[in-house]
Amino acid sequence: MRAGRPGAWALFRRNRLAVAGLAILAIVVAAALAAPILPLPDPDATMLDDRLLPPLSAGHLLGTDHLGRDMLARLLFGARLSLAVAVVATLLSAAIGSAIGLLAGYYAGWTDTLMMRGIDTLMAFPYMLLALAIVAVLGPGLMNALVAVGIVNIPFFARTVHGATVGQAGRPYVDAARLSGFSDVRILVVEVLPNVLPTIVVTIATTVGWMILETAGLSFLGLGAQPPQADLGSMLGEGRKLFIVAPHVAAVPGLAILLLVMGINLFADGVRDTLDPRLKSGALSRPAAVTETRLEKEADPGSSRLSEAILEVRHLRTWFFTGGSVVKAVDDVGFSVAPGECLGIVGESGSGKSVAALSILGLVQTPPGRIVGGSVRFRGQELIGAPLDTLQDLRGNRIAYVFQDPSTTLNPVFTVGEQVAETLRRHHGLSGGAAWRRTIDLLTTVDIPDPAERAGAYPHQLSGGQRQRVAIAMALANDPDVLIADEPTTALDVTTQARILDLLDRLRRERGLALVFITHDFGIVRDICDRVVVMRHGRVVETGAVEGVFVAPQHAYTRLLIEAVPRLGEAPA
Amino acid sequence: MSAPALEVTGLSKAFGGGLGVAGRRTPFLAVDDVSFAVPKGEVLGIVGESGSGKSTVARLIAGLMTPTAGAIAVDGRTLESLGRKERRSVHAEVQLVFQDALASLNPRRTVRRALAAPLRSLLGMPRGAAEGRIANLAGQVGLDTAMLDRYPHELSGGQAQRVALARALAASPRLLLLDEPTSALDVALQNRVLDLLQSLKEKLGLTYVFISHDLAVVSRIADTVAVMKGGRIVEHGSAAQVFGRPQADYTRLLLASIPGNRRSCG
Amino acid sequence: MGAYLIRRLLLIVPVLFGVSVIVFLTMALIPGDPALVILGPYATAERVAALRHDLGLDRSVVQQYVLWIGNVLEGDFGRSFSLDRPVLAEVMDRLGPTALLTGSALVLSTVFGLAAGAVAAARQYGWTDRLLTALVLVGISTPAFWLGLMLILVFAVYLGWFPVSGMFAVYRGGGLGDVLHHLVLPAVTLATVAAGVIARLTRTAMLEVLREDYVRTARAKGLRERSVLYKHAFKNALVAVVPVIGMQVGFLLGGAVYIETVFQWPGIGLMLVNAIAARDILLVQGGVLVVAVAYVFLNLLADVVQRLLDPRVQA
Repeated sequence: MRAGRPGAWALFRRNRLAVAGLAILAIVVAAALAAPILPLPDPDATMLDDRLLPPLSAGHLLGTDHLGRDMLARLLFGARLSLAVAVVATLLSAAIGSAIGLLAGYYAGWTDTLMMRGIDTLMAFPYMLLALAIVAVLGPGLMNALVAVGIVNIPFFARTVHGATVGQAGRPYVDAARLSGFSDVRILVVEVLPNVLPTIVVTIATTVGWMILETAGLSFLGLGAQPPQADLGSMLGEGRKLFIVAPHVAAVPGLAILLLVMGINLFADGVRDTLDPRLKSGALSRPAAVTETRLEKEADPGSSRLSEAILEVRHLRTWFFTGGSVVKAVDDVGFSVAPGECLGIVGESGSGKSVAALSILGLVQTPPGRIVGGSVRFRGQELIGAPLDTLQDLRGNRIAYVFQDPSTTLNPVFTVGEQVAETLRRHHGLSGGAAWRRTIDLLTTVDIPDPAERAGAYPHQLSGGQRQRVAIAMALANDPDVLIADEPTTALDVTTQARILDLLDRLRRERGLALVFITHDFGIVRDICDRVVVMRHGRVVETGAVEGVFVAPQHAYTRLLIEAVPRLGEAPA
Repeated sequence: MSAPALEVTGLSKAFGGGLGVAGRRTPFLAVDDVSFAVPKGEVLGIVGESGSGKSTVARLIAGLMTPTAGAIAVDGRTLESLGRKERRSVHAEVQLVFQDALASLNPRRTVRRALAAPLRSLLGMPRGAAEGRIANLAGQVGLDTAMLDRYPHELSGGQAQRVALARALAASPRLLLLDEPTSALDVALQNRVLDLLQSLKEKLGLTYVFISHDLAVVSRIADTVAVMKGGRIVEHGSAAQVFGRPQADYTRLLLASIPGNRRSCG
Repeated sequence: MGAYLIRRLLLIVPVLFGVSVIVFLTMALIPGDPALVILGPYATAERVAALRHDLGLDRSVVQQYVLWIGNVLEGDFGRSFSLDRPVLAEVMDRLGPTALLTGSALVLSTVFGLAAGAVAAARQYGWTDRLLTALVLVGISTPAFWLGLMLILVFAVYLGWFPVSGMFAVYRGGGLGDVLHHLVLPAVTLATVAAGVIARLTRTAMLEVLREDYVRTARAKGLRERSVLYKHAFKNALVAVVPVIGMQVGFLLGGAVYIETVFQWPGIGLMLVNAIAARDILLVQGGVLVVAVAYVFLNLLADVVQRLLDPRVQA
């Protein structure tokens, strides 16, 4: 089948630890299943002459217990029982919990409130205490322990599946199915369930390990398996009584539990990583503080062509390395900008314009990005391959950035004032009070109303336009020479966009800023920029003065971008 | 004179207003007393910024939400007056194309199955007939039949948009609600999708409600335009009038905010 | 904040009601005659009959619940037959040691879990990360009661650094130092699993947060990596971790049952295990109810802390 997840096994195999976990699990399960046919002594045969033999004794690889029973045989039969109980209990709570989570999550409203309040109530009991109470009432025994542990875990499945279902139920494809005439039941079973199934599978995988520990715990306390029946937990319980005299009787089953649960947990991690689409696109890895630079050949040290340029980028190459493939996001790109000038870099998504701008101060994520060639000079100083310290001293100080979506580029848990003030403290060593006063000045500059009060607000308390003004204040904090604005208005409404553009234009003129403005909208370039660089597929296709390019574009692609700009007063007939 | 393809009168939708701990919460009016009519074969453009209520209008007409007040009439038949079954047949005639085409496709179903769904459950078509119709639909929207057995994540943005369009067309609707159908696409693709919509409209005699924040795109396809703000229609008229001689201050502000024409203004 | 607290306290009421109903219903699940089970095997026929009347076993379940909850609210949890003293008095005596044990385990696991998780994320794929990740894996896979036995064996029996069990030394015991000396092994044992869970989650949360746009913003401002990691990223990661720390309180309270048994620590867990062995249902019921109610309020505390950390959470 050409399922949407080709090579699930290949993905799983990438996680070597998970494969090791699977191997441990396979060996234990195979040994436990085969226990009755393996050449082992009877696990319940008592040999009072051979009591408490240490491990590696003749005929008893793992020694014997206080009744002279063979530990290895008891271990395998015990593991068999523990596994069976854990798996059955997991499936029990998975079935009930998932059903509750699916129904409550899909139907919302009263069904949801009632069911999830019930689940909350079960969750209000400290874990295991409820299991203990249930066993106390039902009486000790393996079946009762199984029921108790199963019930106690229902809320975990219900909550997880509920969350996943709510996430799916709000997706457009569910609405689309409704418009296609599907009934609720059909949508739930045919459309939603397959998308929630990975979550259920992952939760099952991660729960089995807990279940083994929990049933072992109940048996350890004497509330689970009753003699002569023995699981790993009750073996440990028996061993406890004489663990000072004969530690191996307790140590062996404990180690077995540890090994088994560890195998399951490793395996579960692998299952989770395989099914989690976020991890599939390259494991969650921490982007480095600076883009890795590995120049394929020495940068051409040629002298600067434009003496007035403050920032000059030449032959820049930034490539993305994922798996075996290379994407040349920026491939031989050059541009320069002078003080007081606005340079527009225009192109569509995937043209490499943002990557080029981020490369200037090494802000492209590594992995997967890597600068493989070119030169970036700021006031004649080479930045490609410069030490992190040098770059950090320039970042937000001489060269500042404003990014696209102000709802994600500001840190949600700090006040906007703190986020501005922090920049001042970092680069100017201003004291707290001085930094705060300057912050309020800056917020005034970017036209935030009531700045002294707004400085204490968190980003979510501001409108999108105000957030972007804060981001601009942050960028201006240290009076930079160059401001790089990466689609700063794309996430905003058109009327808000107009006001932010006015602000940027005013600031550039007042302060003699070199403004690099990155956008997909040629209209914006025409409004505020002096020169323009048109990028496509990682390369520059056209460059020149804005009016010249706008009136007489040389490249077909530039023409296409210009045609997309509406003209006022030319409404269609 | 035939009834308009769609007529909406006094449509309102309030959110919230449930019981809170501190008494009843004040409801939020996402759509506030909206009325308009779209004659058969015409295109109504609804423009507005985020939060203007334009997408809610589409969801109300499509029947994905129940209006708080007001009436919706499709082909002269008021939805409220119809029984369950008839309403279902009306809904087969009104389809919605979602803003995010990729998200509107179930990630675990092939294109073929997505297209078969409305055919089989809205029209009750047998499997064989559905197969033929699917190939036909793919042709109409310019989708390579090789794409039919792909999963959504194997499609490009433009292909996903074509699939979404094909699915909306499957049950032979007369009215298509297009919610920002081009805003996720690059300029070149935007042009191609608009051309496709134009030719489908003519070929199949469709009526469109075209919702967008992008005035440029709306100006290229709409016959009449309604400008929404804060849940209300602030201006409604022919496209030439709204774009050429705007009456409402808000419309003027919107038009003046379009980049590319502001340099002269300073 | 005040309004939020009131709202949150009001929301607790139905939960407490649900908890009391579940605890009450466990009685109904008792096979056989509850009066006989409650009074134990040596009760006289008259006492059984009197209790049957007191419990209202001749009345409807609703009336029985009202009667029971009325008594509970007045502090009357019944009398434990195995200890021959009021249930509430016994539970209150046991509450302190359990609070001490789980409290110190919570502090230990939170401090070590957060630190280990943050450091591992900061050095992803480095040797520190690998070592910590391996330790965490062993931590969350170990049966805590077994770990307790092994720690006793090594540190108490072989090395003699710590006492084998109990809370006080028999001779000259009882001082703070003595209690702390006894506390070390059980608290460490109890904290191990929780620390592993917290560390694992902190690492994942940090790695997710580090991919956020605002981390790039922090770097674009020229902040040092230390500040990016441990100020900007960590506080956001904490928002995801705090609810789980709240849940760990529940795991710790449950885990205390094993640890108190292994170390003979005189808390509620040990009391419950003994009560179950003696089939002293009223004592079990009282213990479970008190701990559950305490846990509900501790969860409230976790919610409040999360709210203080994350300004976005609205009531």
